[in-house]
Amino acid sequence: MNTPAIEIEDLTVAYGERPALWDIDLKVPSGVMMGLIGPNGAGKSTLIKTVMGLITPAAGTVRIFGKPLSETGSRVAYVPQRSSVDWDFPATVLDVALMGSFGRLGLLGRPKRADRQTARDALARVGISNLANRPVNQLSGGQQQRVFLARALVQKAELYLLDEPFQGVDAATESLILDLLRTIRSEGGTVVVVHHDLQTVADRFDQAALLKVKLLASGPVDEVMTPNLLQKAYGATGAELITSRVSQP
Amino acid sequence: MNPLIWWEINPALATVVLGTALLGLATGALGSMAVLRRNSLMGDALSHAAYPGLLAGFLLNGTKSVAMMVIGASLFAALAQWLTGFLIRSTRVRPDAALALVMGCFFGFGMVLQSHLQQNPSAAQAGLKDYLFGQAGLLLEEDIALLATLAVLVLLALFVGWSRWKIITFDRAHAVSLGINVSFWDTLYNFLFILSVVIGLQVAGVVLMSALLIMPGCAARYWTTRMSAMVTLAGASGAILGVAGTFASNELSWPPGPTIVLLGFSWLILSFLVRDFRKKRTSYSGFSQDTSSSLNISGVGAK
Amino acid sequence: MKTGRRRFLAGIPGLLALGAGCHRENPSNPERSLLATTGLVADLVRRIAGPWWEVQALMGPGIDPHTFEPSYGALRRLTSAKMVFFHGLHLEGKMAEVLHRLEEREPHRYHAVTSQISPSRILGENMETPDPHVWMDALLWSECLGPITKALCEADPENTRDYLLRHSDTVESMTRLDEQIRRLVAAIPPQKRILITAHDAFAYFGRAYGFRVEGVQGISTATEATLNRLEAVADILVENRIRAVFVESSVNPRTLTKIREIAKRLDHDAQIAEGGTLYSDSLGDPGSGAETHQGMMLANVRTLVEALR
Repeated sequence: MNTPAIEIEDLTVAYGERPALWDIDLKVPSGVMMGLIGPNGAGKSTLIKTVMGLITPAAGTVRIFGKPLSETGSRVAYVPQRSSVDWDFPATVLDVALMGSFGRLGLLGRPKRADRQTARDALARVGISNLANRPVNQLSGGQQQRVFLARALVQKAELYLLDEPFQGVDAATESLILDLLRTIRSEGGTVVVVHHDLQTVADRFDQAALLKVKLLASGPVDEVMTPNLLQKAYGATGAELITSRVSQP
Repeated sequence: MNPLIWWEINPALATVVLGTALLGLATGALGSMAVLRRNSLMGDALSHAAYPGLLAGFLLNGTKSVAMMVIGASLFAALAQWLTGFLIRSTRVRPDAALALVMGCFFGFGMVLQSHLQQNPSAAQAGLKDYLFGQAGLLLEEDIALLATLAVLVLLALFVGWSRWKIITFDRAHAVSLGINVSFWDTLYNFLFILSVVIGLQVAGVVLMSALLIMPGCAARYWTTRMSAMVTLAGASGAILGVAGTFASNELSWPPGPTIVLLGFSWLILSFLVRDFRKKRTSYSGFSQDTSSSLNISGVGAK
Repeated sequence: MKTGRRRFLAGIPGLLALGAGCHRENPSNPERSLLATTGLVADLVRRIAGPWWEVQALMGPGIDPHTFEPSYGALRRLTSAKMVFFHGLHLEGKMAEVLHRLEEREPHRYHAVTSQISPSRILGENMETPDPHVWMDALLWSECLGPITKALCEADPENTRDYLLRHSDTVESMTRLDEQIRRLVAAIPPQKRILITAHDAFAYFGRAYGFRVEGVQGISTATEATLNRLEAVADILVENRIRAVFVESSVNPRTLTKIREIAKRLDHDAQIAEGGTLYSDSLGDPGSGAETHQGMMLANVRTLVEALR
């Protein structure tokens, strides 16, 4: 329980000559809900992709629950941006949700009844049970996001990494996702979210990490969302954003 | 009626029918996955790139050894594929431009080799020009064994790796995150794909090969909402198109390869008209407006 | 990885040079050199030209003239040669356009050797798609000497007497060849004079010397063999109990393998061997004995007699 969910040391990732992440040292304790914030191009998506093993770093290490990803991969669920997938694909909502269980299956294994039930339960948890047989090319943005979440839930992971899950979804979906993440946290899971909207960070997360290629700060939200640090990351406008916030009780 | 009797009555036809059916099965199934991966042009690029490999294989070996030509074709195709990937990864060249570049360059090289080989009499003996446009009518019984092996390999690989391929095709990153060895499956797919292209060259030729790969998959897409059904249908329709196309070509006295392609195209148009033409397109993805009437938010969760 | 890429790129020019560098010897005296398209035409021209000219052929032995695509080098030779003799009747399928235009522009320099044959003697469906294989009939081929002699006499009037002498000598020798062929062919009983080949190159031969000829691919090798035709030919094989099919020196033998396979299926007892190689669209290699028209015709006849007798 005291092992940090994610431990990153000296992480550097470069695209060609351009550094995307530089010398990152970050500890994400388990059981928290952390928001990863920073301006465009800060490397937020890159960071969680690297943690997931999708990108090979130029230097540094990543440990998940104290072990390398190869050993603990099954305990991590990744929810990518909706746009990372071509939704014009021949599959139903249930099909996609079921894909979360494939990591547990052997090569010739097919999903069993128990797996199907797990998938249906996950769909219920995200409120799209009625869409189980709908082709995924007929989904709205919010529904797509929920499908991805259901897929992650099916994996029964302990650590959830989400890339901008609140981006471009309707209010109902937003609140559903938030509730779901909080439930996960209260059940002992760890949630790390790449978040784009500074206004809502303090409401939703207990911890935050401010990224601008380098890690500018990490820790409890209030310690990170200070005018000084925000100005370093976002420039003058960032500072304005937080001062407007601070004026509210 | 004993089907083998057919070989006694109409042997030329029987061989070609079986051969094109087997090839259609393999290329239809594999090609449909390329369509899903948005990699439809790969078949065209590889068939063009394989052509100089065929000629080079002949050049190196001097006589008309099929094995040498197949190996040469496969190596060149693989090289072209690697080169395309390299261009996309490491330079500013876009994917479609990279494909076109590599394809043109390799094929151009093939033309140079061909011009050089014109002065070589045994080149005509090897029937090298048949690979440009295909000569399905000359499929021999010994070719059937090769095609059958290909079809079996493809079916086997698809069956065994189905769960993996499904996830990889839909969401590659997710596959990696699940711990699936994506590069292994990619390599296997590419290997089978190249093999199909090279073996299929003598049936369809460089020019028509991509049609054989793409059409069944594109048509199948209109008929089903599940990937397993789509790939199965693509393979089956590829085989049927081979059979029907060969019969039609026999009746019309047309060459088999182009007849199959024309038939396949008609099938594609038909699929579109029947399944899609009258339906209004449903919009999808990326819009923040939600049709919340279809949402059931009662089962949100405890808190 | 980078060095590997550089090496690969560096290798490409080398391979290109290979392709381009297939050099042909330049004529020693361009003023006295003639260019012929096929080896057969070159052979004919040499009979008249004698020691006065150097004759070169654009296409070497074993090259298929129906599908020969002129490279840049070939086109240069065509346009820079002192005088060019080509076959005509669309034999040089891919170059027909070019040759026709050159002939129209400079009729003194470009000559079709078949131009004096009367259309009634030409086989083929119509004059748009004639059967060009006239050399298969020795007497008909001798009618192609006329344009050559005329052109040479005009270009080199000093040696007119010699050219005319050579002309009549050659006509006589071809007449004798024709008689010789008839004598040899007599060894094959008439009902066995059926010739199955990959493409229709022997129609004139058949007409002149009494053979029924069935080619799979039609007049040009550029066409694709249809299934119907393959089966029809196989049927003929089986019905007439023909024991041999013939491969051509410049055509893909696959067609014949396929026919044999079909015939075997139709009649399990059919014994169909490969009767040997016939020279159809080109002469043989130097030293094979078939590098002249006469040698080629006799070689073909001997192969036929051997196999079909």
